[in-house]
Amino acid sequence: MYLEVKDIDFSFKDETILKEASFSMKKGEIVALLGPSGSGKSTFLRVLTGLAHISRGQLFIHDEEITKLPPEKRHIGMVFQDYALFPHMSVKQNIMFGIEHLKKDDRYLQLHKMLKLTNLTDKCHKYPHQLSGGEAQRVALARSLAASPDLLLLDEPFSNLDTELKAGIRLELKEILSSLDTTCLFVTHDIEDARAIADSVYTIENYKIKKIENANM
Amino acid sequence: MRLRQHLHSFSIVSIIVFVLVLVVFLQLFAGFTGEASDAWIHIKEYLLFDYIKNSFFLVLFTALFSAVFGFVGAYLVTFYEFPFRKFFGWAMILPLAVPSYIAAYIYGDMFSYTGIVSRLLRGIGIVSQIDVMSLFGASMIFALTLYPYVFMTVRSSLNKQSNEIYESARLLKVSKSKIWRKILLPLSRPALVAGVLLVVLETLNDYGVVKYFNVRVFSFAIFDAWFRLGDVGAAIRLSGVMLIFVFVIVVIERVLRRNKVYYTLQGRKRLRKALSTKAKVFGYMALGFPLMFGFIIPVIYLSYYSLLTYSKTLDMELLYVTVNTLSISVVATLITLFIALFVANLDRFTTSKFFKRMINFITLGYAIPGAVLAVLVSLFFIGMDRDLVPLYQLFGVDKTLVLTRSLAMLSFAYILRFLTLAFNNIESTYQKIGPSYTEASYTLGQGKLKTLWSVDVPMLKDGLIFAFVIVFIDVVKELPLTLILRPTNYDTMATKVYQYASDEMIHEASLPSLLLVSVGVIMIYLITHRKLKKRVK
Amino acid sequence: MKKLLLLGLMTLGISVLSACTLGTGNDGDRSITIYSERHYESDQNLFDQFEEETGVSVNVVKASADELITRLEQEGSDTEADLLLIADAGRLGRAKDMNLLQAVESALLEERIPEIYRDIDDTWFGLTKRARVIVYHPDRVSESDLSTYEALGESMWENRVVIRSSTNIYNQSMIASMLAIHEEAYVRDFVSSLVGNFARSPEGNDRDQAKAVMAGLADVAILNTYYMGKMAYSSDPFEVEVAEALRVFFPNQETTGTHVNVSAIGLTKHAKNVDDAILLMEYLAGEEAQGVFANANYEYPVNENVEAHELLSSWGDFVAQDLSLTQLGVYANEAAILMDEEGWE
Repeated sequence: MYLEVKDIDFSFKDETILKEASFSMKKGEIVALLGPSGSGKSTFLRVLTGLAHISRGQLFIHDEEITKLPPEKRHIGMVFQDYALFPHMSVKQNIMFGIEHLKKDDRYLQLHKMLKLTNLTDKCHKYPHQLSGGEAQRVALARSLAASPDLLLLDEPFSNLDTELKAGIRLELKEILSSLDTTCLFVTHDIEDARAIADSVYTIENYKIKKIENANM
Repeated sequence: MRLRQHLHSFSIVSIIVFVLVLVVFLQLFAGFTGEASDAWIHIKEYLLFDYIKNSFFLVLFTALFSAVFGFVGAYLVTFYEFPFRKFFGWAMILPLAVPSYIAAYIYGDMFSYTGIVSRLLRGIGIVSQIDVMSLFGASMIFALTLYPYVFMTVRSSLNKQSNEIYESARLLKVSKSKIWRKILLPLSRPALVAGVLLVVLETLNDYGVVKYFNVRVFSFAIFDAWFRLGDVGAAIRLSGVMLIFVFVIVVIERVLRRNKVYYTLQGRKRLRKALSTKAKVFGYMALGFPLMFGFIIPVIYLSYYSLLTYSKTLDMELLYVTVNTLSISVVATLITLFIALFVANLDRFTTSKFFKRMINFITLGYAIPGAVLAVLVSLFFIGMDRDLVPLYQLFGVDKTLVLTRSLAMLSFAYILRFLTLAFNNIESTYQKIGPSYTEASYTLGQGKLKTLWSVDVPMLKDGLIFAFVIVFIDVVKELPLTLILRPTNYDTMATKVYQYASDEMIHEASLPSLLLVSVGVIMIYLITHRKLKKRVK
Repeated sequence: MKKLLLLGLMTLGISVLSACTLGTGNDGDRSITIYSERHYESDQNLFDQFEEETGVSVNVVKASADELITRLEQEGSDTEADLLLIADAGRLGRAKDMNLLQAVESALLEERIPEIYRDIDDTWFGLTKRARVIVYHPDRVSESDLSTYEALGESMWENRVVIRSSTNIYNQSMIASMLAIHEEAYVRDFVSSLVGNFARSPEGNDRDQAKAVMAGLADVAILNTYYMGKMAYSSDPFEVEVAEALRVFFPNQETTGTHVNVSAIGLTKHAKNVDDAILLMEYLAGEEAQGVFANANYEYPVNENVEAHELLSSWGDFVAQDLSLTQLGVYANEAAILMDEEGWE
């Protein structure tokens, strides 16, 4: 298994969310975590990134334990619900933010690859407040993908978008993810989103993460 | 290995600060262990009740006056449109540039027999004198010079409340007084209380005003016990009583504020109502009174006497004093902000109860009166110097007191004293931008320090500049710490003013006072007239 | 960010620089350090003059008396201070009790300074005198009404007396001097009756007391002589008016004498430059320096060969308390406590 979550416990604001829960993903798989808002899905993503701590259990990526690593050492990317684009940086600076350790040539190569992939080349020098909602989301995606994360997490990726745009953007996202063979876990409250993109769908039930078998029907 | 998870640059800096604060505090409590001295018994019998009573009323009156000045001002400039509204929007902050003790010298002089007010009164046949040098007068002076704290916090909270609430209340045919009682006051209460708390702590910390006016409150009593009765132990016990007093106030504030940060983001541009003619008269009076007495009159007084006395007071030394004041203040303020940034970051992300308590404790520094802090810091440094002698000898320094009475010691005291102020300002800015930008940076593989420099600091810029100015002005004005801890013959504007004043040369103190006030005015003008770059839609 | 760092470094540099240039380094071969409560220009001129004559430079640290004493205590044997100069004999008494001073044997000092203005154990020496006098408004009080401090406690003065607070050191020393002369019960009676006659609860400094008399808030005030001098020569014309309108009365001429206090100097326990320090003490007690003290600051010189300022001479001679000022230190705490107990704010 690529991602392994073993027997974890955690709670948020004194409320238990998971108890002895386990979960796993294959490389390149796209998984949706479905559930109503407030069910703890987003907190689960934060646990995987290391932004929230678990009281028990272990996390592995590629058989390497990451339970105690701080967020910046986990190689897990995340697109936040509000995108969290740095308002004082241009699109280009935002995308290059996570790859400053690369050599200059590689950095620019990666930047252009991402711009092309997300169709943002002409927005390169714009600032976040000059972008539309869909564009901002693509920048956030490009920024996370540029760092070639081992796992990409998306927090409610479509909640800030107009309904008319949604269908197109879902397809786009699916294409981008597949083209890079990215392993991706995203949370949503909308079963349509889950069906459209995910290879499999999970939900949180009785403090465990359970697969919904017939989600794709 | 949970420990390693908790150890990083933010927590390490915070822990170091915590340990330093703790050591300084412990020296205070060590003073309690000894037998009660005669002086302490004497104080308890004859004076303590008065100290508590006077402190209570001084705080009460000051809190009331400053709340009224600050709140009414903030309310008017937020919700109404009238000529000079924008001017009042920043001018109302100006009294912050006038140290309370300077205002006290000025009004004490103006209302004395030879002062202009008494002469004017005599001119129209009124012989009786108005006694400003009283508890009531002192609280008025504190309120006039400190109300901008209330004005600023309340205004920023009112700014966050949308017009819609008030419009819908009015559509529901709720009376004006009910809107005030049921909506405006409850919604602004946390900000009002926070602003008033700052005023109260500054009031309790003051030594200049209460000494000059002979108002017997705690800070006065601590000096009195220590110096007049010659009993450090009694002074330390009094400090302990005072800290309990302060602690109760701080806890009350925290309870009042708990979970009560309400604001609704403004939907659209605020439409300000015009004031009726009658209301205009009231409005200008409500804004004009504190501005007039808190700023304009003091500045006119200082300018007039600076002109009369400059031949005696304008010299090269004044230039050195200015350079001293500005450089030590800039350095101390920058370090304070830097540490506050680290502590605020720990506060944002830690889930550890220990760390939360630790931060609560660190930020108590603001509550220790300057005089007490000065004694504790100086004892701490002398102890440290004596321990470091072998190290000094290693470097060929044939002196014991190397750090004692150095600029490092003074800066250290400033940092301890003003860390809370910086921390509160930074924390509130962090709350405005939320945690996700910082978290995004972490998930992009950037470490804590890198994130701090390239994400947090640029995003916090406006808040940091504001915090810088607030702390800077306070450092420049600071008196008891500077007086006691400064290096040999290292004068700042504040100590210069104090020296002239304590030699009964109030008029000669005008020029350095005017300089001191100007520094504050320039800073306030700059932050209120900075063009804010709007990057958020 | 780099700009900010640069700015920080620059300011750090400036402050270090300013600390170096403005701190008074020991530039001469011979130098002494004096902790002084007095910040008069005339004092500095005297130190400059001294350096010119002897080649010993004088490094002055100025702060309030209590700060200086606390500082001396904290620094212990590491102190740089050679001399302590304070404007109250009681405070020097405390420094002596705290074992911060050492005895000086100097024939010159003994010759120049009368015995009662020196410490009994020669740890400090008075340099300038000030009398604590009664100031009154001639329109409302006739000179014949005044006699002693104690008389101000009588019922005719009800609501007519102003004086500053009991925390003021000059008041504390005045009461200490009475305790040294009289029984405690006598002094307690006096303080209690005086407090009963206060026209207002004490506030402000000595000048404010004179102004209160001028304003008609009270008819008599107790204050130090040199404040009358300072007002008479003030840059503020209204203060001059006050000084000219009011009269000075030396109390207790027929009984114990007017209370006198001194600015005095002592050699610190851990002084490093003992010889040069004593040289300065002797210089300050000499006729030249005493003349400067008298003229610049309206104080009475301790050296009897030197004339007082003409304003002070115009008030006439007076009989001072015949009391060794060593006693002011001895009774300081008792005085403070007694004043509190009798409700002197």
